[in-house]
Amino acid sequence: MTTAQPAMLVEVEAVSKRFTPQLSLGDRLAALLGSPVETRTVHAVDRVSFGLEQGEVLGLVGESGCGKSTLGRVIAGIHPPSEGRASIAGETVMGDGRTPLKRTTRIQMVFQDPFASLDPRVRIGETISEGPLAHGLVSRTDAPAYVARWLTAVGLPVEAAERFPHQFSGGQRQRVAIARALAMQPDVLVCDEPVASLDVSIQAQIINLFLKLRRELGLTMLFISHDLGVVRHLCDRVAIMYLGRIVEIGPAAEIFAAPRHPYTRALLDSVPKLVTGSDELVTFKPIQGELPSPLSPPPGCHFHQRCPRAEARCRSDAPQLAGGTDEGTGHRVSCHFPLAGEA
Amino acid sequence: MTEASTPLARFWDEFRHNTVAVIALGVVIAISIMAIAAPLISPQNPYDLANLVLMDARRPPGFVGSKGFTHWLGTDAQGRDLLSAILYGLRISIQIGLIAGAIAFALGATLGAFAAFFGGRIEALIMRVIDLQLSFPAILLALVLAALLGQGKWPLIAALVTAQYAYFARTAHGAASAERSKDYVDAALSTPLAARRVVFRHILPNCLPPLIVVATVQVANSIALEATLSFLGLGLPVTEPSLGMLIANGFQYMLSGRYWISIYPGVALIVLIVAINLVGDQVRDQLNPRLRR
Amino acid sequence: MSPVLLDVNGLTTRFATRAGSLNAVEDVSFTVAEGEIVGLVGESGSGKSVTGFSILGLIDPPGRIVAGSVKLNGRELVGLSHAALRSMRGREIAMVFQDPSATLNPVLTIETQMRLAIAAHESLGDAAARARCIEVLGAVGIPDAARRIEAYPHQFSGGMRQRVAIAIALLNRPKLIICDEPTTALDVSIQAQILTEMKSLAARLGTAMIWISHDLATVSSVASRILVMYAGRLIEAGPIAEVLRQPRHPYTRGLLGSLPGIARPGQDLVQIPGAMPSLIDLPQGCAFQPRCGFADAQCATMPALSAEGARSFRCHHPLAAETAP
Repeated sequence: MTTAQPAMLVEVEAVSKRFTPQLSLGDRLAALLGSPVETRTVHAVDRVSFGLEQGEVLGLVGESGCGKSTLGRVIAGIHPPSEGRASIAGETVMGDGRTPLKRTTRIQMVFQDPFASLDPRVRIGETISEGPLAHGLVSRTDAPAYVARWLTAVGLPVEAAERFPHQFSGGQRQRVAIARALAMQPDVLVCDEPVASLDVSIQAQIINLFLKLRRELGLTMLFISHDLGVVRHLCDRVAIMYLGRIVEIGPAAEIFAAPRHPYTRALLDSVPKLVTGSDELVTFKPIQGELPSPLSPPPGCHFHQRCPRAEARCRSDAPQLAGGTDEGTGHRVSCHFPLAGEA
Repeated sequence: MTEASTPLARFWDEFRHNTVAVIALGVVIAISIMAIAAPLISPQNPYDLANLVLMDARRPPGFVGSKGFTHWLGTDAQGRDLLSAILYGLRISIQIGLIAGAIAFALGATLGAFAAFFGGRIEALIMRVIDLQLSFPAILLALVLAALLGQGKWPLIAALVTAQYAYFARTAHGAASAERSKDYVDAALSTPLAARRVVFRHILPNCLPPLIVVATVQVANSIALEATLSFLGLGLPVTEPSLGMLIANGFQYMLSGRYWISIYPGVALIVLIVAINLVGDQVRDQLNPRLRR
Repeated sequence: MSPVLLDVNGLTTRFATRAGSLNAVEDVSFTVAEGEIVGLVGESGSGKSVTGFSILGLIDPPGRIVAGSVKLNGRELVGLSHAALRSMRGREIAMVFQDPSATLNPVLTIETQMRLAIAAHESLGDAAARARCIEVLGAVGIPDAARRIEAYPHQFSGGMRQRVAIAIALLNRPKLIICDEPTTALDVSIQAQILTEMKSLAARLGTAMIWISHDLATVSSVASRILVMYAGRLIEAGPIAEVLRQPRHPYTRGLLGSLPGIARPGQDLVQIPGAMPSLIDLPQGCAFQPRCGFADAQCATMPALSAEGARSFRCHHPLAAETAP
């Protein structure tokens, strides 16, 4: 809660990630001979910088295709960044050279779909213990007790270690995936939509588990989600992404109460709210149009085509992420004409 | 409950509904047992030259030889009992087919899976070499190699492996590429686990179904290929005739009416290969999710 | 009160599986009035989608409607021949699915698909058919419909594809549209656009809708009445604002408590322990009893659906009408 520049545990510095599909041999020959070959490069993440303080939960919010998952995977060391660097306590997440490139074990990841993120042919116990064994966090003799400890921590019976993933429901599998990540004793957990594929009542159980683990272990988390309700409930700070860039970042309460970027405002207005008064009228103020293709993002501010406040400058000049009137809270917005921030 | 049944039990449960495949499996097992037990059940050791009586050569089926037992399938040009020769020949054919298949499986699957895992230039290099090789007929490659390496069991196996590992590699590469993009591999990368462990513990076991299908077909193919090479005289030495050589030896007597020397080993070979293929067809139907009802 | 359009009574649909009979829908009864939007809510495995399929007669073996009736304008649909059902589908009741790419044929243009849908029920001249298609596409918010109609499905974004699927459902001006999670796969901003358009369309055309969803908030923004299902049974029904303000069934209250939007940020959510039972192996009596904080010996018998004014619930220990969640 300090307003001075705190030492960040995780630093993300100008990270970009582009995906260029490999050209076929024929295309490469054609390019060599001088014919124009279209390279369809996807700009998934575009020079994103932010930090994670020790013990905080940062929500990364955006619609599909905005690059939030890719950014999460770069930070978790699955994809190397095209440019820039992600580091934890000064140590770069990605080494150089051979696959797997990742060197540190201090960042672990929980995935969206627990049906895909657990190897169907490996027993739960081995799934949880193989990482700690490979990195010497536990000896082979102590492994069963170690696995049991983490199973208990995530609310699963100890006998689960002997079973295979298909014998569990979605919620239980997600607990296994969380136990696998935690068993590496990480400082930071990257969670990519960990509750999106679960039913409402199971989702509440997993959210409560995250709350409990956070209290008990003091975890630092990057929580990626498209669900604003979940993010608001779990996160201290929120970063809103649009087409590869962070458009607004700041304390959760402030962003939900008084968003300053027109996109954030529109996103909040699009969320259906529970109607409990019989005379309440439900009106949305939906954003016009659709997400532009990340193959050819518009020049200037990526949002200008859909923005009600856009002016000529927005079409040519990409705004920088900058502090607003009250820099003390670290609320920054990337807009030439930000909203006043009225409550 | 489904929890009690193992995947193997469920597999068999489905398998036994196909009567033809069950019969074919029975034939494969019966032939294999007879081949393994050849020294115990065959009336004569056809490799022991001292046992052979030239006077009994080229006798028709049912002939009672000078050693006092009936040659149910007749004898060949050296006076070997054909039944014994076929059993011993099957033994060699199956042995070579299995060993070559197993080595080709291990080599090809490892290459294909690592290519898919690493991607980029390594993948491009390995897969181009394999594509190039697959554009030659396997028999041509095996012929050249067998001619270069000379006669004998191990040179023959080496030739068969070279001709066949590419099929395993391509199948493993396809399956592993699909597995590579799944979250559990990303999870292993973010742990991080060593490449060796990710490939052998996670990716390859999940690629097994299509590889098993290829394996059944390729064992049958390598038996046929071995027979072809032996038929052409590039296989095993004459003293240890496999099925292919038996067929070749009898070939010259076909027109003189001594059909049995070639026909019976041929029938044994065809029955074995067809049976393995029938089993393989059913295995493929069961393991291919797209053909599932 | 508008006249009753759809009357579902005692609908029971089962699937024969190797492990036994799976009771997907058990004794479900409700009505839909003309022009009314009814929300059908439940978690996966609650039977909400199978209810929708059963109404349309889209249950294939090993599934079977074993009991109950579905009456549309007084005409019984259960037991109709395949041909009769086919001529009813699309013209009187249409369906919109979660995944529009599963509904649209990738190799036909939008126009061809829409005209096939018209031709299935009436013969219309070329110009008239095309005009109808363009009109409906425009109504669901597809810009430049006259040109876009010649495009193929892959040339549309996910949100636009779902709009096309909705347009096809509207083509023959059905009385009732069953929407099975039509916005679940879409982004919130696109979802908001579609919800707004569907609502105004339904009001303008007087089309009734059954809106099947797992998301209470989405349903509450379109529907006027809500049906809550759990493990194959209807457990609570009533006007949506009343049900959400004062749920009578402990499960409905648990669902509301599970929503992160209501509790104070950072606080534990009111979670329902455990998971939904298997539909093959349901507990004796009330299916919610193993997860319910109010359960006692009485709950070993199945509670009847008791009505109280416009509301009804299936519980031996209903929450008092005045307790707020």
